Amino acid sequence: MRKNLLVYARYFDIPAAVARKRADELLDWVQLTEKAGADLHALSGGMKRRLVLARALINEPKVLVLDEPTTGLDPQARHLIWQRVRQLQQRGVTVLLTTHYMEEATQLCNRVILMHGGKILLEGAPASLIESEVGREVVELWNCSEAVRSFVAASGFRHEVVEERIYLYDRESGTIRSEIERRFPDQERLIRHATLEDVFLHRAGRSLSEG
Amino acid sequence: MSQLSRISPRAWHVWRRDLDVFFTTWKTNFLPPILEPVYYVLAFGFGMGGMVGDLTYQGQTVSYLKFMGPGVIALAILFWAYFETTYSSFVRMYYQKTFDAIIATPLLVEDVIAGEWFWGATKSLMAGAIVLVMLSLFGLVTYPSGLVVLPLSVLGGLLFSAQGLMTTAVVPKIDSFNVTTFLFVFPMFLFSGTFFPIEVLPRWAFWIAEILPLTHISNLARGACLGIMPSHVAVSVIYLLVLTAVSSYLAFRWMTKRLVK
Repeated sequence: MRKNLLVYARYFDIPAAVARKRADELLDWVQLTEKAGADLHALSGGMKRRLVLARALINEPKVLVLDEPTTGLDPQARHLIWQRVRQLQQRGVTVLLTTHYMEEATQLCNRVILMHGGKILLEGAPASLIESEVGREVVELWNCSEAVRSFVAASGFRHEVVEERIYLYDRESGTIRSEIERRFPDQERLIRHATLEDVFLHRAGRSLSEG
Repeated sequence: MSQLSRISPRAWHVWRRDLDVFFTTWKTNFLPPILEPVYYVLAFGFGMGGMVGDLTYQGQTVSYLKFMGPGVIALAILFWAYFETTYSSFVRMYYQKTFDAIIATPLLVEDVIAGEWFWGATKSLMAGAIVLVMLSLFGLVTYPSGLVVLPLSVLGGLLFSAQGLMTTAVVPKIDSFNVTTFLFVFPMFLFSGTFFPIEVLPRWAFWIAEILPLTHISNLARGACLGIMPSHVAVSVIYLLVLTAVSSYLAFRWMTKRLVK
């Protein structure tokens, strides 16, 4: 694994001594020092991804392009990569990353571009996009009675109905929640913060789009 | 030819990569060129040789074993270059995405192709040298003329390495190498004066054999090992040089087309 970094360093004409030092630092940084001598085929998906991240940094780039860096990784590996990406940002490295995970985009990006079907839907800072597109809070309802359905339909609250489930979008926290709790205390519900995923699904439509 | 001028010294990094990978498993990698000549010498030299008896080469009588030995050198040159830049290069290009990773660095496509090309030739040189040593152990090589095998291995290596890359550039799948192997490599392996003098072939087949580059390599290797000046040396060398130039030109063009979409 260390060898893999050293061979890659050669392509940048990095002197061997510098490359060795950087390789050791980077392996340590992605917590792979123990596996430094391991055969590449013996690595797990998460280890490989960390190695590739380390390798991409061997020439100390100013811009880093990451294509779905945490897809398929376990939570620990995912959080380690997030942590490392944040450190790079603090050091002034520009990171351009693509992801299907809205949570990842919210966690890591100063600026996001939401794309759907090859077109740009929205652009901006994650927090302000959530605030302006969806609001603060989302109330999800399921197993709704006819009374609940007609109340929601007549309420004027911004909402979406997807099969059995109703999504209510609240600009301020608590208004819709307390109204539902007061009128239908037994209603099954989930109250949560609005996320970038809501923004995306709201804009792109909740139905599956293939191709 | 402008493409060749784009090759930078960084091409050696690609060559070094292949060399490093090769030496991680050097024990198994060196086994074939060590054992192959032994098997050929035992099977053909002692086995068939006893039935065939002696042959005349350039007017001199030589045993079948001595005649056939240099043929094994020619085969090693062919196989080690050609199979490196077909199957092995294809795996690096298609399955391991090694070339994609390298092109993401300051290296150019031309550097990658050149690195692979030189590496194929390097393998021929290693194989040629090892087989030469093994044949020497059987007392089948005359020195110092036998040392001509080394530059010959480089020339033949560059030729077959380039032709391997030409193949790699055009095959859709790894299985397609079977086609070129059985249409070109196998007939060449058998009909290039490696195991018998091509003069015994019917006239038409003789001329086809004369076109095959391996014929000229085995002829030159034989001359070198036996210490006998082979016929039309200059023609053979010039023919091999011209073929190498044309093949490498096409290898660079076609591989670039394949790698840059």
